[in-house]
Amino acid sequence: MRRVLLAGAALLVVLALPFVARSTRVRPHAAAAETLVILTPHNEAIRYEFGRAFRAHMARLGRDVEIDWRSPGGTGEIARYLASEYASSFERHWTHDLGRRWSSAVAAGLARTGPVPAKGGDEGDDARRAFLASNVGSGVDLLFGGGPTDFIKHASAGRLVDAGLIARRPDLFGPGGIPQKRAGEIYWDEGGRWYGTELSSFGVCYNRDVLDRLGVAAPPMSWAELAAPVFRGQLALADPTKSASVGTAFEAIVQTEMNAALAGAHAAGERDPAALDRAARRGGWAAAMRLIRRIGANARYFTDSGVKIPLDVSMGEAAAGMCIDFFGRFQGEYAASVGRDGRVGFATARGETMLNADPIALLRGAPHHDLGVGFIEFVLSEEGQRQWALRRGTPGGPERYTLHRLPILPRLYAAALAPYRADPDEDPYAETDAFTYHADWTGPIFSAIAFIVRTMCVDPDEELRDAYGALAEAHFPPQATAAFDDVTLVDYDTVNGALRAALQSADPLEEARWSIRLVEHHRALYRRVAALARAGQ
Amino acid sequence: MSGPGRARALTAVVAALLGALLATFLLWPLADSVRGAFVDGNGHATFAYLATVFRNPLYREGFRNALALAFASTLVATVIGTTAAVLLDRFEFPGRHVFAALVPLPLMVPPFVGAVGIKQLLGNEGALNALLAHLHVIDARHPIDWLRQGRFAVVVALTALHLYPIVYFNMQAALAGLNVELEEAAASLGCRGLRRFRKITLPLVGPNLFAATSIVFIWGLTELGVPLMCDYTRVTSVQIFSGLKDLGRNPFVFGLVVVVLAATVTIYAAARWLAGRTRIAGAAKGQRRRRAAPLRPFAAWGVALVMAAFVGAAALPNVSVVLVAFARDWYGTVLPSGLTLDHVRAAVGHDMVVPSIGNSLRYVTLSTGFDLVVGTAIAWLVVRTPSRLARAIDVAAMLPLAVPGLVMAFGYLSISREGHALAFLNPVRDPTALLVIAYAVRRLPFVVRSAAAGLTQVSLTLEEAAASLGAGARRVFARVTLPLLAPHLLAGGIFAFALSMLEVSDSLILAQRQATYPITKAIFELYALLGDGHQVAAALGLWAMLFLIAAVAFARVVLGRRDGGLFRL
Repeated sequence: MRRVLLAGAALLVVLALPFVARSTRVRPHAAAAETLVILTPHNEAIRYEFGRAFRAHMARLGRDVEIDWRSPGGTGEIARYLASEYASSFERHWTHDLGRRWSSAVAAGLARTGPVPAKGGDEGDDARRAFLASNVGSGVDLLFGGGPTDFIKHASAGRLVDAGLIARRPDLFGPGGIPQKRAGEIYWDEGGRWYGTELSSFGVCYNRDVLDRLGVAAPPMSWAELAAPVFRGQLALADPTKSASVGTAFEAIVQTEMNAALAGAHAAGERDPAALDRAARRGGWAAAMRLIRRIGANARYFTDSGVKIPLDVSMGEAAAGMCIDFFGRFQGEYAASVGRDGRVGFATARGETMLNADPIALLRGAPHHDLGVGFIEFVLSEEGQRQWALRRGTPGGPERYTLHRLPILPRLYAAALAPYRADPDEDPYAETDAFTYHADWTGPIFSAIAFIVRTMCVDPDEELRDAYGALAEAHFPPQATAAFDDVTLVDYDTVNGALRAALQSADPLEEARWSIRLVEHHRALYRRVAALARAGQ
Repeated sequence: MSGPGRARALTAVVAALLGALLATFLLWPLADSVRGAFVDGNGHATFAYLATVFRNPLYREGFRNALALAFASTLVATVIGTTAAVLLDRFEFPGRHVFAALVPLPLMVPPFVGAVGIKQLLGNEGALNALLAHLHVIDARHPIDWLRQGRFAVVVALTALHLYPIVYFNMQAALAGLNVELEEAAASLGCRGLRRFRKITLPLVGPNLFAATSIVFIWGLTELGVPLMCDYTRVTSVQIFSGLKDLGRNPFVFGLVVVVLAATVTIYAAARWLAGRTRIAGAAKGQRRRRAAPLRPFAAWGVALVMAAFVGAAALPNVSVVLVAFARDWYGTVLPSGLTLDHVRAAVGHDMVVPSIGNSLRYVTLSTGFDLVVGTAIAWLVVRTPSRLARAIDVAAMLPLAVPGLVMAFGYLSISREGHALAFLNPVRDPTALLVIAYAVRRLPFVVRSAAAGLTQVSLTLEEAAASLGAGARRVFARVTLPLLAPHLLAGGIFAFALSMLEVSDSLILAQRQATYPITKAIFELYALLGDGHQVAAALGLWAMLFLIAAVAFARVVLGRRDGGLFRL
């Protein structure tokens, strides 16, 4: 009996511990007069700070509001969730409200994107027109967080609607406000269907101890530096087929090389615009493929988790990693606070990266339309933007978490706020070395870039790593090096032509055939390179 | 209706109910999820996607690697688990009670932070390298990359150490209920030592060993966490996970899921057939308890050392999670450089944590109860009323082990959408029902296998004796069968409870509102905060481990007393 009592008491103590130690009690949503439903991939820190700040803001207006945050996963899971919810709601609308028969043609029509003819077409077009004219919803008011690519896709599918802020808030979207476009990047949708709320980019986070150990004197500040053989098996990279933001980072590498090829051709005396454009596209593309292959050869892994990279670098598992700027800054600051100052550092790849907007949007059929618009307005206002930028505990800033994000509203970079900003040295609007984004160069092949990275680096990773190791150990013998740098199978014309068509084909088997062909080609190539290098050729 | 006729009718009703249950909550969501593998862009049926899976050399290589990992992990886990069970059952040695209590620890490693814990030990700047450098065995400037070098062996070792408690518990249940008289009879005829173990003991515990190894093998075949942590990407489970996360369309990943399921069913059915052929009659539970034999001091300390090596190595991730939770910083040193209570305070005081604990307790208690009832019914059907339907239900009940968590989670989400028949289970309003079902279905194999192994050992003679003395079927079950079965149900129930408490995929996808988060989602949310997030998450993981240890200990003390058979160390 004594043992039973002891075991029971131990269980009770463990159970009671968190109940006794909890700091605050969460108010149930039902207790608030109004509830706003927000779907988001943002983490707890952002949810907490914006939830708290918006509640306080609305309380000053005499309204009692609570936010019902919904997090079914990352942007991929959210996209799948929304597609499924809208398909289901529309099926009900189509069959019950419109009294029409559901068919695979109707479902296929709903899945189409982009504009639809005003009248005519097939049953699928009918369905799409009916959807765009409807107030079919998902039970959610807002989508908050992700990359512009994700939001463009949702907008094109008709899931996002105009929140009406562009006309209503000229102070935010007019002169002196948030630019619609900068260096080729879109910061808000002209149709008002989504609005960027903060800016982020990819850079390199690094561990100085590991760099010392590898004999690297200066931290890598550019993508090209990550191609050095000294980083073999030491890079933590992100997988562009899992995240559109990572895809943008790889697109930036391609754009950088294309800009360099353009400048090179210009410096060589070429003046014909068509020839310059050709040199940029073809020469730049080939250079980018060679660079990506070498960087990929140094990869320890390609992950889908944004958190894993800064954490692994901080733990010394990798020397450097491809990292979203705020993760890098945040982890660097934390490592310095508990360990040796400067153990983890972060460098934005200056002039080689795009500044992406992190958007917010009103969803079709939002059950709390006005409250949703109010939240978007709040996030974009100076009061909301302070939550991104300021250190916790500063006036008007976040309460519990410093978010280390770069606000999109230019006036937040005013000198008066510098003492309170978490990253006072960062001002994306003051940067002059950002490259110019040429949408026509890589925009149409955005998905193809991710596909190439996967088939050239991610899938044949073992053979690639082995080939690069053999090359480095043999001091890059000419024949093997030439074979390694041969990227003719994935040249710009092939990618922009046959591969792009296969990726856009309605038949996924087309894509699969390309995938198997390219992966097997690369595995064979890398095995041959390794054999040549080991033979000293 | 006559007695046997009524029994047959009742059996048919139970079988139909169980079949319907599994069809609704296992096969339907699964079929809904993998439907994309068999439907082309125009809505027509196709096998072309499935054929492409076989044509892809990377997928073939991944499957070969998965099979090799599963075989090797099962072998190692079986050797460790059986050795541990025999040593703890048969011999008295120092620390015996402590070792027995520590065996379940590897199954209690919390998700996400468990991987951080292992990296703290085996990483480049981890504790092991720091120790070796301190002892001048290696140069600190050239640390050993344990997680990458000899990766196959590392994955096998980590998987086997993670799964050996499954073998241990099943073997322990079998040994505790073993008919001692048979072993004594063999000994009196000169059959002793290892020969007696091979000839008498092993065949008698066969059903339990089969139960354990089948679970370990299928688990090993589909294990995701360990290969993912070691960046071993050419393994089927990782390829499926990666495919599911693809932004673009990828119907082939569902084809791969179907291939894994088919392979699992085939391997399981073949193993079951083999095990059935070698089943020994008279493997009845003993009614007399065996006393552990005292050993000479030297041998006793030797056994203690062996146990310490197994149990200690397997519990290292738990120890590491504890240290991470209390570490101020832990980088390049054997132990943390400075301790703090901040992370624990932040974890237990966080406003997300307390509701998540309450939610998890509610979901997991209900799902384990569901598993015990349904699992016992399935086991009864399989063992006592064998038929084709019973065999089909048995095989179906093993499927959840082989289905990737994300596939099932999306299947549940899909069948409960608004406008569908199960819309009343929609998890956005309240995920309790769906999470309970999801947890229960995923952990059902543990209870089914334990209960089936137990029922195989329960002597029909005892039930018949009770019946001949006038006890009705219900009374026989309650007074004879259930007490004899209880240790096995306890073992299966513990697995179901602990593993449901730490379940990831369903928790992440189905619990969408903070107020409904279970513990694993709270751990994930804290982990994703970066900075000290992983340490705060480790602190919550530590709480989960403590709770599971306390709950298992309580169950063992209470049920161990009543039963007097199992866990009688």
